[in-house]
Amino acid sequence: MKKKILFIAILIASFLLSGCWDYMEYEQMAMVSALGIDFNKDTGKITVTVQVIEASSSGAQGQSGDSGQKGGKSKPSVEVMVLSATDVTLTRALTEIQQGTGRRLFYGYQQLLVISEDAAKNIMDEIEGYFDRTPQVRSTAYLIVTSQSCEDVLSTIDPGIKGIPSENIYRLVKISGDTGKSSAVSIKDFSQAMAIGGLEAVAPRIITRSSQEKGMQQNENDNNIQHVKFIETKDGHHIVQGIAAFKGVKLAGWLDSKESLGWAWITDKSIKTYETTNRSEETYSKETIDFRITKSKSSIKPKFDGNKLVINVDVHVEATLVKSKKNSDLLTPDVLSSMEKELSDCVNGDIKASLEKVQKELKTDIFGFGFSFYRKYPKLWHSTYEQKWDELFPDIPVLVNVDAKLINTGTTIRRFIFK
Amino acid sequence: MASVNKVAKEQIAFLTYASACGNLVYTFSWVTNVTGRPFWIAVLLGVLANIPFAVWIMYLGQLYQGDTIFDILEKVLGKFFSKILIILYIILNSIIAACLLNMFTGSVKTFFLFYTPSWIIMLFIVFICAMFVNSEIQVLGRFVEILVVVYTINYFIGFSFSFFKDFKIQKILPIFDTTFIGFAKGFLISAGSTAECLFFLMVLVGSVSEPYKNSKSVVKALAYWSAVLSSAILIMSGVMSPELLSRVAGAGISVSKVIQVGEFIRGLEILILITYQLLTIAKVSLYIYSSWVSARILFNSRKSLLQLILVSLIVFLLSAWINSFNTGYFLSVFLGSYILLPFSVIILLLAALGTLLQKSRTGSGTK
Repeated sequence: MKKKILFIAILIASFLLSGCWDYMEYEQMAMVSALGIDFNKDTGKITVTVQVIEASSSGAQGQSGDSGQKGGKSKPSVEVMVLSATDVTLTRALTEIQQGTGRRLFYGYQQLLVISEDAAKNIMDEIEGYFDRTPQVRSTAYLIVTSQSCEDVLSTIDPGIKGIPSENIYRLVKISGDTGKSSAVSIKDFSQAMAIGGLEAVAPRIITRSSQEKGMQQNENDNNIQHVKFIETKDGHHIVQGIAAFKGVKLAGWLDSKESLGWAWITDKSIKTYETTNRSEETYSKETIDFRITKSKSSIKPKFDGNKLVINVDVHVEATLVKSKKNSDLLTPDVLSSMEKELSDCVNGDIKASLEKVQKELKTDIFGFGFSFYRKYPKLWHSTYEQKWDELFPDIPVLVNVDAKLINTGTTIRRFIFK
Repeated sequence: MASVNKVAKEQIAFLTYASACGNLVYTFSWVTNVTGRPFWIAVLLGVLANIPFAVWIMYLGQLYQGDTIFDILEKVLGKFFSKILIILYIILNSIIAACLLNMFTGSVKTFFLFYTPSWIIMLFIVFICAMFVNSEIQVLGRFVEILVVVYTINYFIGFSFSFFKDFKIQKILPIFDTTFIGFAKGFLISAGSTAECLFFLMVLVGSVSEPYKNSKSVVKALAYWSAVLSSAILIMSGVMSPELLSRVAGAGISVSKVIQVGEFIRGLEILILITYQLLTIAKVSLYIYSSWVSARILFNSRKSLLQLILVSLIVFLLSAWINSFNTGYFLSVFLGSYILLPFSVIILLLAALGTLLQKSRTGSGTK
């Protein structure tokens, strides 16, 4: 019996005590919710900005007496602190931030990795290498690119949004794919696109608009801890629009909303809402038709026309009508057919715009035509095409076939008639 | 050394399954690296390739029922040669145990316990394993049965979440894009690494009644393991893509980190770590058991408990001395590529030839 008790005691102790070295109090941790990386190509220095969650308790602790709260209950609120540090490497900048906060940086809650344009153009390999090897940062965190500074993005807080600011950006990124005007890309997705042959990486673009004219205000008095800056947050808002296209480990350029939509149609991204876009500014509000995309499916089929490689892009879209101010009151099959044609033409227009920009200007295969070709003709890919794909890609003819179907018009079969 | 304790055929199957489930659960990423997309087929065939050798062990055991392969070697080759082979066997067994322990510990330290010293985790595992080994083979069999069921189910529950969003069939196509040499290398590494199960079967056979008749359980276990491992790594490939999978260190733990369903189902690496921990405990127990049983042949069962403690200490000290995930990984790939299977085949050949010689001398193949 004694032996059994000893056995159980040792067993339990072994389970419980073996992790004691990693014990850490909550107060000892600085919870990073977002991390931004800027690069100054003139100095060759990297600036890392982190948004750190500061969980605090506000509200009465029974002190005011008239708060109506009893039993010392407090109202939890979340505040954030934004810090940045500049150094020659990512690791050193992060270490400086850690020393500045006096707490260990904890990345378990990190949801965003923001990369500035210059960083995306110059040090993407270093960034990718760091996060690929660092398990503390979840690879499900979204990667976003900005043409502004990461400090700007992370220190701008929308005053109308409650909760952790980076979570708001996270939600914006997540939902951006619904309109096709941008697309959520995780660190894992980005790494995969960088590793897979015949496919280039993309990342959503974030634009920050500050309500303060002067932009970022830094409290210089607080900047005396090595290179660490405590950045004052400011009111503003964020827009996730367009995508950043990469070629290898370098940012090749930007796609606007329409071009991003074209990319989303080709790469079979799930688009939920759509408005026809082939309209002039004058007639825009009158003639725009809004659709809810219920189903979309696209396929990339490389084929040989004689000896010439041709890429066929087939897109099948099913939609329901959300809004239309077209002439006819009655939504007859003829009217629906014309709307289907309009939808089809618009999707085609998005795709053409995207192809034009990507093939002729950026010259980077973010559609994965090369990867599709490899899957169909693996031997030919290895023997001939893999080496010269970069040269061939801009001139490969792409045949687009869009099949649009309007499956219903919502709850009515007639336009709303105002009295 | 005739064993009096016999294991049931279900236990034979579970023990064989657990013995095959070793270093390859980490080093398959090396197979991915050398083979490319059909790496999971190379692993499937590599595991299955061990079946003839496993049946061979059971056949030899049938000729000398109640004896381990090392007992047979002692009878047919004499004490001197058998002792040399037993020492080599214990050394190799301890090294592959140390490799597995280092890879598990390395994964724990990379993902969870960054500051906990490796030796603490190793000591805990070796201690638990030694406690379980210090019982009859049937008890160890039952213990392994439970662990195998729990870790296999747990593994697939964890990875089943990948089918909601992360698994993409495009990532694993085309399946057969490889070269003959690449595929052959992957096959040989898989077959060689799975030869760990032959190491265990050489000892287990002494505790099996009518071994050859029970070889069906061994065949079944290896067939199941080949299906389980290859399907598991195929899922991982569909989640990560072979390009990224060929680089991962923590295998399933790395892959499970990227699985996310909505906002709530994430952090599955904790779930998958449980599988790896149970797998490591089961496998290290079998390594220690194998070394212990063969050491008892070496020292004629004197001070059996002391021998167990020494064998466990060797595994622990070797692991603590290596103290590196990468060394453990590359040592494991090296042993799997060049040593384990050839060593097993040499032992079996010697036992078979010795048996034939003895048969020709005495006119009988059995004792």
